[in-house]
Amino acid sequence: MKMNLRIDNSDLKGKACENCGKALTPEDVYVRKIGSELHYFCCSHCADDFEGKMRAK
Amino acid sequence: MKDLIIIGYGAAGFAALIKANELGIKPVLIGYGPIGGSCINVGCVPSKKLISIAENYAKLRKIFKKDDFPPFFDSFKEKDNLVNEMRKTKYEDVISYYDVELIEGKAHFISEREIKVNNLVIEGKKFIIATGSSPKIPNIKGINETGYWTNIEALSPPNRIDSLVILGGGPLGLEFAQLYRRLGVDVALLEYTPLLLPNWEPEISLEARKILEGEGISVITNVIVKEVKKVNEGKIIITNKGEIIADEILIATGRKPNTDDLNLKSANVVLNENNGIKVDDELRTSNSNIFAAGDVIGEKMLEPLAGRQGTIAVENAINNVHKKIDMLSVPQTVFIEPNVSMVGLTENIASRYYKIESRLIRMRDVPKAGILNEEEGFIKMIINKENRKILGVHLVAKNGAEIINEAALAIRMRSTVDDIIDTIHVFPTMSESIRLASLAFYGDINKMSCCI
Repeated sequence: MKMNLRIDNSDLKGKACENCGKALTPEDVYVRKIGSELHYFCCSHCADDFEGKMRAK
Repeated sequence: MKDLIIIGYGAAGFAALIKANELGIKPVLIGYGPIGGSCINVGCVPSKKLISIAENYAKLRKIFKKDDFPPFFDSFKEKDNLVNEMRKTKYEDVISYYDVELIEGKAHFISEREIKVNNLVIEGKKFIIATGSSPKIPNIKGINETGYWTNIEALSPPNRIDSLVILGGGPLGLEFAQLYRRLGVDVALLEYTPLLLPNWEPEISLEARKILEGEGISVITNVIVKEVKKVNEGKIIITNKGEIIADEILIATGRKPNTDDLNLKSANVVLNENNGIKVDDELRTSNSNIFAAGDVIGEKMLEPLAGRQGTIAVENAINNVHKKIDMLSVPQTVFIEPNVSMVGLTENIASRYYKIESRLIRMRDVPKAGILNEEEGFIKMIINKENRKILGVHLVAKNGAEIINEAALAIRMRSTVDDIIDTIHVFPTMSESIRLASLAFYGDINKMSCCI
């Protein structure tokens, strides 16, 4: 039988870079674990910037 | 009293036997089930053979734009032929070259120095436990009544299926997902955590997801399976995100060490938090005359690691030479196509212990990848900023399983990026990507000519 998939799989949809707000696509997403949480960025520079700001707090 | 008793005749057990003979010891080797253990019978060898068959057809479909899939049962027959041949030449024939007392049966300890097998009590001076691992079945409502596949059925399916739901987004789940999709089966891959391959570098997890989704596999992460049931035509999987109905369910949620039947308490052997046998870095258990090797330790479950542990366990047991394995340089690969491989530390873990620096280069910037038309993927390298030593290499690439061996050697030798840069690589090769990643610490590789 063909698979019958009735699932809402919207994990990455609408996700934006947590530093600059740019919309993310699977191609450009950059994920970094900071503490115990995964954070989503558009590039390593934004990740560095975000992590720096978190540490400064 | 026997000098050495080895329990288990898979990769670790055989390596232990061979080393024991080298040291002039005739061991007792005890095992049950097909000789050779999981790898040759229901693990690496059969799965990689099937992956290779499926990959050839995937290439043909890509080149000729035809919708041809491998013949379902013939593919499994071809796999069986290879497994039977390799089991004979690599295990059944090999055992005849060695001086060993082979006993088929299930052994358990009855004291610190005695085991019982087939109603026979055997006393030993030293022991190696190498009993391997088995599929870990999660506690899901209805799972036993509904029935399921593990790697064993997935490698020798009793019937043709058109749709498959795989529970578990680890290495096994990913490999079976792509394999069955490439056999023409509808596949959904369900993972409890937010990312596939949860302990790997996050970019690897996302790239792996992109690859699988690109082949038409439904990947669902952050999902909790609440119940499974039989329905008229198949099986229904009820989750917190909705329902899936498919022909079959494959459980790939990890493996558990085979320690249950060994009666380890009577030997004063204690377990670790993974329910594996607790060992020190010389593979000695809490009983100094008993050593353990391979999956039964409950940590990294890899065939080549198991083999090496079998060898070292015997050397330490017999000659007390205090040998250890450099766990930092143990590489591993998930054999989806392109391969996903890693060795060393992830960026997150490395940053806890060192001042680090990392670079990621895309395979599209590696000349050989362009030549092969295999530009998918990347390579990421993490180094200690203070001494330039390589701490971790993570990659998604065509032939990645071959490339990662060089990275493993580099880490084993505690090499720096400069050691790699100073090593002339053949041009054009995929493994040149390791050197390009090293060069990326000094400049933009997109602004470099082919050979620099």
